Amino acid sequence: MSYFHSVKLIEEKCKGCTHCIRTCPTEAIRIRNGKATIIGDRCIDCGECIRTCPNSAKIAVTEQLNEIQKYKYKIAIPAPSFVSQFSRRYRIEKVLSGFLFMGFDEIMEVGLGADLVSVAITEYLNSLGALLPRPVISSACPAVVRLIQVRYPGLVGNIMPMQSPMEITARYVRRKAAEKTGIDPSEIGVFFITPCPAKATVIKQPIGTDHSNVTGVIATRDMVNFVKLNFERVVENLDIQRASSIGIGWGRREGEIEAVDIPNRLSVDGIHHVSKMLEKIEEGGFRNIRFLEAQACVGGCVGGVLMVENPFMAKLKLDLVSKEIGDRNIEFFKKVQSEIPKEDYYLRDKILPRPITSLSPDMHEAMRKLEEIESLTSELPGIDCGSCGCPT
Amino acid sequence: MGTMHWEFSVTGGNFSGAGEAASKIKNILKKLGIAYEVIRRVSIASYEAEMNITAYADEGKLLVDIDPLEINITASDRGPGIPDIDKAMQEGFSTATPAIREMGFGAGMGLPNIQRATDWMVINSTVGKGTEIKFKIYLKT
Repeated sequence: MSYFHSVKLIEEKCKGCTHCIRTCPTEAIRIRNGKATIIGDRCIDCGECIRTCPNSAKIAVTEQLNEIQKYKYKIAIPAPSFVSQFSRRYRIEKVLSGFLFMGFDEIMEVGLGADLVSVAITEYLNSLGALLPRPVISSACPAVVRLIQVRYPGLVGNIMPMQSPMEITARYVRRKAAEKTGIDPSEIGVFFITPCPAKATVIKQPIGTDHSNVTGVIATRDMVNFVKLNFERVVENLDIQRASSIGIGWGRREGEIEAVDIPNRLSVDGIHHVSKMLEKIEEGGFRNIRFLEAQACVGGCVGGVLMVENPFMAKLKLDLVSKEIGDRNIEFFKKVQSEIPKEDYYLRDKILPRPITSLSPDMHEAMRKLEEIESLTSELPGIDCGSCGCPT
Repeated sequence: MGTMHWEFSVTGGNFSGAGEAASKIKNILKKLGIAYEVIRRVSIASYEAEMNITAYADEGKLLVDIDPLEINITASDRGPGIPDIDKAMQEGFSTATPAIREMGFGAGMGLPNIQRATDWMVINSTVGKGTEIKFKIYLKT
């Protein structure tokens, strides 16, 4: 089976320097004939190679801004982390008005979906309690979910079977827009403003469900550039219900565990830290933790590779914005909540393992290969030079 | 094509490195494509055995034999031995020092956990000399 990937290589730029093969968390890259190649079964679109490539040879494929023109009715749903990309000079209400200036008909912050999902997670964890595996691992970061599927397949049962705030938001706005305008849902374009390539992949190839309500994704940096370039011309004409501080908080690390009202929560960020922790969970560790928030990027979504601002600065900015926003508008929140059936929050299908861990499906063959690996390794000096083009 | 063998040494008192052998064993089983449920059971048993050596013995080792039908592990150590094996097998019974408990170990669940996770287990011990724990897990149920 072949998988869609938003992370791609620009061959002309690749020098075969081997930086990426060392940082790839799933050993998905080989250097062949002097160029990097990505193994589709292994790649989880986390974007580590984009971050690490000194030659900018790795990119994330997202939609061009004019892609939205193909749709009769256009809705933007910016990630909670989006508002972290602007300094004080840019009033957030005006920044968001920039979406309307660009041609969107409507905007709804995914932070609102995050707020709704927070309540659903709390209910799920509290109602099932002791029946759940420990820890339950958040499904919000698609790179982490894929990491579990390929490298820690025994832990797929620990992943919370919950839709992401992006999906909940997209589904809600699409339905409401169709009701309001009478436009056929297929002519409504819902665009997620993404911090990372993993989200670009997940809408093309959803996990735990057969299709996504998101039409396409636009890179945060493309949108930030547009807004900043046109800022003087943007008219502040926004009339929307803003997300709450809880929902916006999802854009950075610990936002999710702060939003979920249960004891014994833990947050981990950075794909290699996540790997180490999953390794321990596989060995029976962290049983005292009930809910684990795990994010592939350092700092959470503010650290995504499609962001512009320094991740730590972005986190500070996000905290300031969320403090200003304050609590949820209870009346509005209750109304939206009543419009979304409970079952909509849950993934329809089971998340299945996609293991890359075994050397062969046949155990005799796997044993033979392992013996060969071990005898070869014992003869080598153990210097990680990367010149064979493979990870060590 | 018969059996593959591994040997991992474990140093008594080295809590910071504890769990390494169990982790290596787990990763070997993943490479061999063993079922997750079996890997989980082997991980629990080998981790507990490794921790016992770390917490109580001077030094020891885990010997691992894998063939297409079963996994056999022998955890042997040079150490104080177990005076009363029946008692040691009781849940909650522990001779751990306060220092060991301080580090989160010594709940008296180690040996019972090994028994629960494995298909067969036997303990031989000589007080003042050392302990040998053997256990087996079948690959196919």
